[in-house]
Amino acid sequence: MDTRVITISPELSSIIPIMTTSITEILFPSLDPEINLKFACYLKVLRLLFDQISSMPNSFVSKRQIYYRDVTLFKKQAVINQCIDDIASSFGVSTETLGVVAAQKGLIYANLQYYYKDKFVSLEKKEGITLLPLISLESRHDDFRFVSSCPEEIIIVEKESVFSKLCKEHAHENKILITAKGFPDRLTKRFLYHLTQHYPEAKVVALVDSDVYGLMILKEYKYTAAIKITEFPKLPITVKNEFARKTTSRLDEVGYMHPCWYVSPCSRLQYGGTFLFDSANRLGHLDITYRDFNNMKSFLRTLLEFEDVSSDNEMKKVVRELQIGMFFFKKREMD
Amino acid sequence: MGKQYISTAIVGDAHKSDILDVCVSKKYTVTCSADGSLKLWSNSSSDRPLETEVFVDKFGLHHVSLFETSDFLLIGTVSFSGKFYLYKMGDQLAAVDDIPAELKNEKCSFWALKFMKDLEEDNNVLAITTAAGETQIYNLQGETLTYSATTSSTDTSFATSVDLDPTFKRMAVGHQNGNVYIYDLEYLKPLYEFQSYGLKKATSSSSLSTVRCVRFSPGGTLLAVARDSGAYGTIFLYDVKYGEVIGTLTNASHSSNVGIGGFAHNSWCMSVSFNEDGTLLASGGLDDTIRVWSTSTRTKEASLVVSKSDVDDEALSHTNQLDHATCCALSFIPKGLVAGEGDNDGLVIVGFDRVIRWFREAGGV
Repeated sequence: MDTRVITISPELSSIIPIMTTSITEILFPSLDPEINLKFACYLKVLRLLFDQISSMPNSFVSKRQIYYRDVTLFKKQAVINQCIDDIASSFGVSTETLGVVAAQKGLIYANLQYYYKDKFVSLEKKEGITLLPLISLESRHDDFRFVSSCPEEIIIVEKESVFSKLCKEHAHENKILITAKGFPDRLTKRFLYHLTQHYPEAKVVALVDSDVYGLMILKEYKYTAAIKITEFPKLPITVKNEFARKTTSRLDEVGYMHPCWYVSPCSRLQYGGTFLFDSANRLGHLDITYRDFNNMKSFLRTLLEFEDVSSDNEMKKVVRELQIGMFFFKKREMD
Repeated sequence: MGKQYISTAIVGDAHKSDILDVCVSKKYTVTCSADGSLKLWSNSSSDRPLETEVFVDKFGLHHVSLFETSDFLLIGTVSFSGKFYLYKMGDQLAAVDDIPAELKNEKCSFWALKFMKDLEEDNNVLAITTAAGETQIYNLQGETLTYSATTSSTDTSFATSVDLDPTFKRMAVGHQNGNVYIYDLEYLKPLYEFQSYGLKKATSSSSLSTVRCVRFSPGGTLLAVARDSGAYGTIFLYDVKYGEVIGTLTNASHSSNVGIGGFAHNSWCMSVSFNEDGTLLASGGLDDTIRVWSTSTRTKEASLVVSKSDVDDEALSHTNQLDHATCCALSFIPKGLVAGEGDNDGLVIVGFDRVIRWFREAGGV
């Protein structure tokens, strides 16, 4: 057992482990057709997972693939996600143990060589844009060993079209480009987290639209604490304390206490545009709608509440960009 | 180009963020800013010391309007959260909490506002627009506001600007889509609709002619409308009585020959203001230029280029284009308001560079 895990800092030892469980009871048969349907879903998923594990051990299937096995029954992807998470937590294992991984959505364009859990992975720009390599959502810092030199810059792009354009421009530079095609999925966030932790000197820039969705995506990468880690105190970059959300520690089956934190994928991310008033942008302004305006208003509230806790200069830029967008009734897309 | 304006005072770093609106009363120049605070600058001294300030809303403030009596000064302001706030300046600045429930409605996103002082002193009004395109009217007695009515406009485009005229009891409301409506204030009946004749995008719903500012002339015969025209800024003058276009204020340059329309500014014109007797109109835009026009001849009387280098402000080391924009809102200052600065019109200009600049017409001291 890794002894470092149980080294607990004094401030942490005060946290009493609380085991919280929520139980969903499903009785079959029932007079409620909804519950019968739910039961059928759980049963079907269990069957599919069992087939998966028994027929091809150590292989993975994505939640999306499971969904497509019986669309008429599941109806929505969200049903599947809930089912699988419930089953995994009922068994007390991770979804990966069940052979399920999230489908890759993110794209990467880089010259990057590394070992992941002693397996060599090599990405080459000459091979073009590739899907982000699959990693476990519970990867640890030490699972990675990067071979290639530190990139000049890591660029996160909101949109695929702009991403493809930038890939051509940066083909011969030591830069890594990543896009999650809109709101980032867990895999992209996790990968970015480990990448930026291993290259602490690399500058990280996000390129998003100057509209409420672009700025929300920026927040998702920079401020939303969504990466669960168990090794906070010895990271190369100490994530600013305020950006980390501490959770109650968890006791594992053999009685060790695992402290864990939630941190944002990349707290040093810089807001690189596009700005509403940016002379380099050749696209004109678009009107914001009433819906945009209300979204901007509530997003501004979220940011300002966050700013009370921890304020940094990038946050001020985002707040101002929102205020200016509302003031001029305009938004602007990346060109 | 008959007039010359000279700088009289500059306050740099006046707010922590963009200064978005300015109003002038007898004693104070009032500014509101995206940093969320209202500041009152004293007109009594030529260096315009800060009299008092109040932090209102962390969302930031974007519009301010004043109502002045011999006893007190009411200051209304609206924040980016859509909330309306009322303050009273007597011996000191204090919040007025007793405002009607309609003005506290959180579902309403308020935007622009305007107080009107009735000429007979008994029918004072506050008009306030909403993001949904409506305009609400409140009666003001003493310092008490009571809800009166809401416009029944079918135009749901964002109501961006409002002004009131006490002489003929008119209200003008400008919208994001370029339309301007003149209402009869008593019955809230729309009398005239002025559409933007300018550029329209066929492929998207985007408006290229957002109304930025509407202002009645003193006496209420003219309405000045500042509108976008694509990336440029135009100013139209309308006759209020007959609802006709009188003309545009056009900067004589190559751009007036392009056939679409004359431009007043090379970038959006954010604010216009009439002087006390209505003979002059000042306009300011994101092109960092202030122009003063004669309303009778519709020609340019003066042009002031305001550059960032006027002030020595270390904090202004940003890279964003807008950070250098020096004019977001402006207002004429009545003659003789500031002691020792002559008997000519003055101007006050605020901007995104967080500077307040005062000018006056040369001569007349």
